Amino acid sequence: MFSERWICFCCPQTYKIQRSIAPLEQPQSRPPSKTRGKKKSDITLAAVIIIQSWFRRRQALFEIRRKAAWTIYQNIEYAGEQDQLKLYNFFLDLMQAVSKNPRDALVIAKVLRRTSSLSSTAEELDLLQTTAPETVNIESSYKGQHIQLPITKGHLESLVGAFQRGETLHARYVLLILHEVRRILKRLPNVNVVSTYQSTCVTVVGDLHGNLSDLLLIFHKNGLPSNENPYIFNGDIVDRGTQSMEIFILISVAFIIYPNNVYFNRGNHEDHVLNLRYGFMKEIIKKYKSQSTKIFHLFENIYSWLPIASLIDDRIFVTHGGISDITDLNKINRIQRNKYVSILSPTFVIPENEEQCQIKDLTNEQLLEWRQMLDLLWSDPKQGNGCEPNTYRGGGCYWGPDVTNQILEKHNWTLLIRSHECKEEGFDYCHDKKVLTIFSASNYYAAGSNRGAYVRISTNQPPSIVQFMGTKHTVKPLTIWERVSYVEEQALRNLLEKFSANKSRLMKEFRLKDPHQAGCIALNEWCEIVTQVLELQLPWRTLKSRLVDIDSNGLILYESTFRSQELQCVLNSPVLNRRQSFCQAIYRNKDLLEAVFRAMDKDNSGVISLQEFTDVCVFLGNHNGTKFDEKQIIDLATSIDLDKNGVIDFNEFLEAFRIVDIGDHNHDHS
Amino acid sequence: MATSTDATGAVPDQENRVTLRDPIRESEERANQARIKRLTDAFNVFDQESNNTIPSTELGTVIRSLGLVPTEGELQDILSEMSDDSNPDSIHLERFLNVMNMILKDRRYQGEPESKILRAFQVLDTQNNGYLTEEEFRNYLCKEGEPFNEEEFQDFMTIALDDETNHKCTYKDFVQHLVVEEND
Repeated sequence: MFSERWICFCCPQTYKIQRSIAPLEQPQSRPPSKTRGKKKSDITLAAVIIIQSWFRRRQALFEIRRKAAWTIYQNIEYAGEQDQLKLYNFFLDLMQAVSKNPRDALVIAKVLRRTSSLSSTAEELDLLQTTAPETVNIESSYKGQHIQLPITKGHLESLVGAFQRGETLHARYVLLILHEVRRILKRLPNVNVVSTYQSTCVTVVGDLHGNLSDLLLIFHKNGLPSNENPYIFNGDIVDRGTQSMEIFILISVAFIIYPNNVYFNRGNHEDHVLNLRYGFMKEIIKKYKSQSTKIFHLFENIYSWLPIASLIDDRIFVTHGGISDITDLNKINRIQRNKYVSILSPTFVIPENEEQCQIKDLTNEQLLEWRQMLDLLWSDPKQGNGCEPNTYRGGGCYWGPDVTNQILEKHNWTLLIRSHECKEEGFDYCHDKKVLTIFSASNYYAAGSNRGAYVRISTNQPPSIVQFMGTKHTVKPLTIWERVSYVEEQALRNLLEKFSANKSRLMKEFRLKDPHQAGCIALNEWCEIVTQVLELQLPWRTLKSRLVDIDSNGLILYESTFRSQELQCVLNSPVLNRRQSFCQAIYRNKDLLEAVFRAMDKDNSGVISLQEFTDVCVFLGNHNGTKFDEKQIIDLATSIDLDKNGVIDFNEFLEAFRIVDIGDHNHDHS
Repeated sequence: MATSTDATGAVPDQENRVTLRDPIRESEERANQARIKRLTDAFNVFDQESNNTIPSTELGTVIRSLGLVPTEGELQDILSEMSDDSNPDSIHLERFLNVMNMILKDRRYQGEPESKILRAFQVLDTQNNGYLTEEEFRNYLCKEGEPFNEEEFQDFMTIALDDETNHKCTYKDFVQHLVVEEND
């Protein structure tokens, strides 16, 4: 029943070495006089193995906690992306519904894309004029870097220094650099052709997500980009972090100086629809205030000109998300990529002018072309064979090892490098080492959650991966134990926020399972309810002891989750029950509402003007079949504009939804 | 159950006899269900794609995270019992549950009581100092038994040392750290 080492201290002779153990350097037979010595060494061996085994157990207990924390982050992250796509689909549905009336479609197209009804030449001219650097004057108080054409290596070096010191580059120079980038990008094919013949190597960098310190760390370790040191930036440069602008500028400057040795691949976040929600737009507004509309407008256009993949030496295919069973290089090369201002809102559903409304005439070929793009930017690999829609993210697909083999063979490629997914080690091989994931933002979910990595590809050599971890927030490096605890704490905090945001629904379900109001339910019931209500598949049993109190019979005291101090803060404790549920609803949908708000705020002023509000009302009204007259709209806007300053800010907007939510709430109970 | 109290006192018919409760079997069944749930949950943490498989390399972590204390050698035995020759790199949930359920039921790999672990440290502490140094640990743990690799050793030292300056481990306290329970 017990393992043999159990009795090792009293009779060490019975201890048998297991086969995986390194053989002991002991002679097979010993003279009888040395029996004493042998016995002693066996006791030592047994003692060593006990300590080793117990330590490995202790480590595993930590590992599972870390893994659970990781799962929380991923689930919450993807749930967010899904929400954004749902919102997008909602707008798309609305557009489809009103396709009979091109004028309405145009309004919503404006809301979504901020595009004009001009022809493409006129649009180009308009963009060049409205976003020209000359339209922005430099204040005499500006103390930052100055940039003049032509852009040189000196600019790159001085900008690295300036950004390290926390300086912001002036809007005028941002526009100057972006226009230069755009000019070069427009000449490029959809798939960058990269050769290591001259430089002997190329470095591929994955998602950076606004994490400037990681880019600087990579430049520090691997050298600045140059003709001898080429780089491919594999998408998702922007969003989430707070320094997307600085990263984009540094890469752009390098790209302008070495256009043949710095390559951009577009990521799924190089899309203004995602920027609305994931922070880049907020960052631009914060840093560039009145100039932000111009900058954002130009970014939208630049995204559409970014190449969508790179091919190294005809054998390694590099793209942000991955492939699907329809991926075909010839078809990709034929795509007119700038049609896809947003990968999520392809131009073909948006009329170029009022007479040409094409939503209804969407052909199969157009859809297939769109999917070529969508799958490259949004897909994730899976272990099992086949190809299926990516339900987790809501866009792109999951592809299996059979698809990898099929597509690599078809094109005669040997390796696929992609990014798009955060990996604990910064990289991950799958599909028989034919797919390599590279993720370059370290500490992505929380300090210590993951390493970043980049990969160097040299001619005829296996890829060489370099890992790193930024430590700017910590004085001394954290030990693994401290890291796990910290990451876990952050993850649990996120999770507790979800609990608080859904308190009423959770409590309702808990009470249904607890008819006698004993305050406790079985573990199974608790797990099922939280999985259902929060729509998160998590290892609840593993997490339970850190989320909720458990009584001596193993029953879950379900109310204890909401008693913690942190939650009291989130919920502003002593408010009325009714009010609480509104707070929760608002809190639950805050991200979503913020995206709607940003979409309505066409000029990115941070407030919605009466005109912007009217546009949306007219559109929504037509969709519902209820026409608002002008007075009604003005009344509505005024009622939302609580401080009566003529514009609606985000707080007022949230307040308005709270009022709407009261209606919904009552409706639920009637 | 109402039908069994028949007024005529007749012997309950076949159908009713089947419904008679067997408390021992029921409690066994409950324990069995609880074990399966616990095992499935631990397994799922590592089942990244929700396809009921985990990589073989994660088996040790899953088993140890259940609080069990197998040696590396014993782990190999468990692995060979579970693995499927046609797919040696991954472990299927079904085989995992079968093997692990028996292990939990028979209370195997429960590990030594605290006193024995303390004794193990005392064996290594030949001078009877009450502490062991980093050097001593390295000699024993990285060279003998089922040796630690460098990473494991570094992790071990970060929790073993009393503080960063003296490079000693007063093992009596350290034993407390080692025997933490699951989910503490």
